[in-house]
This record gives sequence, C-alpha cells and structure tokens, in this order.
Amino acid sequence: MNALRESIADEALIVLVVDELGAKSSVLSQTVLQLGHRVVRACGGDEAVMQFQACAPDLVLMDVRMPSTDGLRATERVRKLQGSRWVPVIYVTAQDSEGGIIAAIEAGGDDCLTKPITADLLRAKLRGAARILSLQRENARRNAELERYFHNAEEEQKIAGSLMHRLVQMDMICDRAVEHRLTPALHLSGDVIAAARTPDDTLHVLLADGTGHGLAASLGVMPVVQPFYAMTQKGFSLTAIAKEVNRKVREWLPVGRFIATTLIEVDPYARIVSVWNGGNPPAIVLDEDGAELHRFVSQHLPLGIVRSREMDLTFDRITLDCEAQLIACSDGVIEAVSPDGTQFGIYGVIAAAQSAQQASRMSALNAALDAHLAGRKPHDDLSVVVIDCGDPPVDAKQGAGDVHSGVGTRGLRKWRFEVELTPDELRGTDVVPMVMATLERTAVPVAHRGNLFVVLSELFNNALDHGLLLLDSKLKSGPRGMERYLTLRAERLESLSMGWIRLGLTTIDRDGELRLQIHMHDSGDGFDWQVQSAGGRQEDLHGRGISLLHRLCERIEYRGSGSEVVGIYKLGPRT
Amino acid sequence: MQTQVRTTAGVAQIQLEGRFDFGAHREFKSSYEVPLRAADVRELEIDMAGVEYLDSSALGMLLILKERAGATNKRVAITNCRGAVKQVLDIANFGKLFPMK
Repeated sequence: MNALRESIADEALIVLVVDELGAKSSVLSQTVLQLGHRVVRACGGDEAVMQFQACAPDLVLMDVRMPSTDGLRATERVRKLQGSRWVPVIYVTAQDSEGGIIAAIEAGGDDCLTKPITADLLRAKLRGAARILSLQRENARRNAELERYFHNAEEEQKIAGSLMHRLVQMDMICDRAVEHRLTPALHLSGDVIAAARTPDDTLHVLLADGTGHGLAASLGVMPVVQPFYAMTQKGFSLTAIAKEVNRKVREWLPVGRFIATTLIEVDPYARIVSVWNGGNPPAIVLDEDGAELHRFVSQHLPLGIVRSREMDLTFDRITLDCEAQLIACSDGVIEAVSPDGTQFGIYGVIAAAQSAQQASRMSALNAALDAHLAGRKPHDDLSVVVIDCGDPPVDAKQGAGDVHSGVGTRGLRKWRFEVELTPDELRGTDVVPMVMATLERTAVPVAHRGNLFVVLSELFNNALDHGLLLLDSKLKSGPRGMERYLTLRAERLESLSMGWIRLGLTTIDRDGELRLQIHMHDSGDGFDWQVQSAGGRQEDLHGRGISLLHRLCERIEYRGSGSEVVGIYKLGPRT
Repeated sequence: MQTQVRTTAGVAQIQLEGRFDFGAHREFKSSYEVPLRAADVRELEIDMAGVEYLDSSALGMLLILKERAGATNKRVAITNCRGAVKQVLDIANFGKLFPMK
C-alpha cells in the first residue's frame, strides 16, 4: 500500500489522468479534484505506464482527442500490469466516432466519454466506477482471507494428520500375518486399522470407520485404538475389548456419531477365526486357490450406539482346515467410484484378490483399486486388511519359552494372593488378564509374564471348561468341532448358576531360588488325572496345553479327585 | 433434500426426497421439530421412498431423532426402504433400532 493511498479518505479515488500530447487537461483534472479525488497526471503512453506502476491508481482517464495508437497501446500495457486488480480505463475523447469507441474498448478500455463533459456527468461516472471498485475490493479482501484460511487449514490438517498417525500407532502394525492399506480422503483418516497379539499369540485385528471423514471422524476413532492395544497386550478377550471400546466411544462422542467396527480374532493353533462385524462390509475368507470359504456379514450395530451391556457380542466363527486369508475393508473401498461412475463393490475386492497368488493378494488389491480410481482422490477413506489365518507357526506359542537365566528377581517380596470366583464373576470378567494385572504390580519380571499368562490360562480354562461347565474335550475333534465346543461353552457359561474356582498365587523362597506356586481349585468332580497325565492325548491339539504346562512349569501336581492342581513356576535365583 | 410432513391419527409421516446426507442436516431437523413438539403425535414415520442416496451422517441424524423422540415417548419408524438405501440400513443393522415398515 503506497503513501498516497494511506493519505486519502476511503471513498476517494486515485485517478490517473493521461494527456495525449502533453496538452493542458487541467479542466478535467480540476473537475476530478473538485469531486474529492486525488489526481496523478501523466503525459503520453510511457509516462502513463510508469505512473500506473508507481501510484497504483483506482481508475484511469485517457484524455485524448481521438483514441490514438499511443493511447491504445498504453491501455494494453496497463491491462497487463494490473494483475488480478481490475482498474477501469475511461476514454475521454473530443470526437464521437463509432470506430474509435470500438477500438478503445477492444484495447481494454471500459467506457468512453465525449467532450464536453459536465462535472455532473463525470461525478456520476466516477461514482459508478467507485461502486464497482468497492465491490471488487471487498471481493479481493474476502478471497485473500479465504486463501489464508485455506492455507492455514491445510497446514493444520497436515500437522494433525501426522500427530493422529502416531497417536493411533499406525506404525505398530508389523505383524507377520497382517498386511494393510489405508488411504484417507483428506489428510486425516476416519478409518483406522490396528493389529496386536495377546500374550498367548492370539491375533487381534480391528478395522474401524468413524462417521464421516476428516478431522471429526479422525478424532472419533481415537478412543477405539488405545484400549484395543492396551487390553490385547494384557490378554483380554475381544468381547471385553469390544465392551470397553463401546463404552469409551459413547463417553467421548456425541449422539449421532458412531463407529462401524470389525473385530477379528485368529487363533493360529486351533485355526479358528472369530469375527464381530458391526456396520462394515462383509469380511471374506478365501482359501489358497481363491475359493470363497466364508463371508462374515455385518450382524451388529456399529459401536457407540447402544450401551455396552445391551450389546450383542456374539462372534461369528469358523474353523479352517487349510491355509486361508481373511480380507476386510471399509465401505469407502466398496463405494470407490471409477471415472465412469461404477463402484468397486465387494465383487471388485474378491475378483482382485482371486486374480493373485495368496502371497500377493494385498498388492493385487492395491493395484486394482488404484486402477479403478484412475488417479482420482477417493471421496471416502479407504482401508483394507489382509490377514493370513490358516498358517500356524512352526514353533510353540510365542512368548512361551525358557526365560533367560539372567533375569533378576530384585524387589520381589514374599506375598500370597487368593481369589474365589463365582458364576457372576466368571461371566463378567476376563479372569486371567485381571490376575496378570495384579502380578504386574508385584515386581514379577516382565520376561516371565508371557509364560505365566499361558500357564494361568491353561489351568484356569481347564478348571472352568471341564470342572464347572462339564465340557468334554472330545467335542473339539472333527470338522467344526472347535466351533461347536466354543458355542456350547458360551451357552453353558451364560446359564451357569453354581460352582466356584479358587485361585491362589504364592511366592516361595527356598534355597536361594524364588518360585511362584499357582494353585487352581474348582468345585467340579475332577477327573482321572493318573490316566490323563500319563500322556496319550498329549500329541493332539487339545493336549498341546497340557504338554505346554509341563514344559513351562517345574512341576505340575494334581491333587485329590483331580479338581485341584498345583503348578510350580521357577522365577530364578533370589537377588 | 426436500421434506414433506403429513400428520394423520397421531402418526407424523415425514417424506424425504433426494440425497439424504450431511447437506440435508438442516432440512431434516426442521422437518421433525413440529411433530416432536405436538402432544398428539405418538409416532414419526420416516418415509424413504424418495431417497436416492443415504450416507453414514444420515444414519447419525436418525439416531439423534430417535434420542429426541425417546425423550418425549414418541416412536420412530422407517418406511419404504429399497435398493441402496435399504442396503446401507441393513449393513448398519438399523433394523435392530427402528421398526422397518
């Protein structure tokens, strides 16, 4: 903004008066001055251009006898200089020839006045121009403001995007069985994918899609991720996680906001895939050759709508007897539109996956989706996850093994912990993670926690399944046996009305060694442990637990009728 | 989106027409304000026959309506769902929340 502009009143214009041949156009200049405007004078085309640059006038009056080449060229040059700011150029001529007027307007002039000009006419013309100018200035101001706002918003979204990325721990997905893709429609994604394993190697995967997209949706999925990771690592079941996440979503988000969620659990040993789909497109299971084995359709309301205790937490479950992959995606993928308006569709997902070998299905899906979008930005967030689920690890459970003898037991005191659980607690709590949480506060070294989780789970599940729920392990055999077993287990637990499980943990400090004694006792009739522990069943899937117990514990002792068992776990030398 | 409200025998029928998405927020909200305040209205029927598209923010608006109607003991039902509209409502399992007619 130049000094001249600052010195004048808002409604006054800076008028550049151009005289063609250095003629004294003082009459015109005088009139403009008298009307309350500022006048800058220029002689001829070159000076006009120079003054135009120097004074940034609001309006140009070309005072010419006839529109000459010089004046026209000056107008053209002025037009080029003005940039995005429109400056009216008005010709003031002595003659009124149609050709002259046309030439003037074609060169970029806006209007022509024929002399003699009265002050009234000039005033009216300048007022008209001033009106347009003020509209234009207001417009320019708003544009600049919008542009500033846009840039700020872009910048903030970028920062928020990278922050959110870290907050939802996107980088934590490095599981050997999980591949994923996430493409936000804006900088921020309202979709989220998370994957983690429980201490006994069960894989949990979450695919969530918050209402809408962008910042609000992205903030909405935040309460989902943190409990998912924290609870999975502590060994909680997906049922407990779903309840907690739902509670958080309801607490954080206003009514009308919800999160379509697919929860996937893969037990790599039993080859059981359990899925809870609330509001997402179907998750598809394909075998090695690409044949569709199962479709986990949405059977539930998205998270955040009903109270946690009103939720239907029935998981759809299949047992695999071959290698297979599960493919889940958000509706942005299904609804992704190609330039000709076709949706990618669930068939697009399946066809792309079937077109490739098992190992390269994710890249095939990526390529097909990119080809479908043909370079256009998707209108909604896209997320896809491909999970290997029929491929059990060769080794025994991860985290279950010999703990390095260098692990210290510093700070570990002698203590004893006992708990009795009755049907209500057994139904409503994830007992093992709860006990693990207690153990974590007693300075049991981290390195032992994976092992202890496995030992506690095996002992507790045996007590519950066989002692209280009277389930026969033989049920697990045969096709879909495991599904039948788990369904029956859920039913019996739901209707369990009596019985108890007592769990005691005691540290033993003897001969310079610290040990943990785990005592599990149930109200059931027990079993003929002399037959069972003699082996025989140990090679099959169900016996895997027992052999694992023997490997991890120094000693396993059944007592009485077999409803009582004591495991001794070695923590290491007292330090 | 356009809306039209007709009340007969305690049932307010709200006919929707066009795209039911975030842009329809104001229009949808103003369509149910009067029936919600009317003491003699027991039920609001959202007629989807003229809806050509429905997104997740529309589902959110239905939830808000249900919450507000519940506060004055009014029921909300959804009628005439077909094609893509029905599909979206089915995937979200809204049949568990709203009677579908």
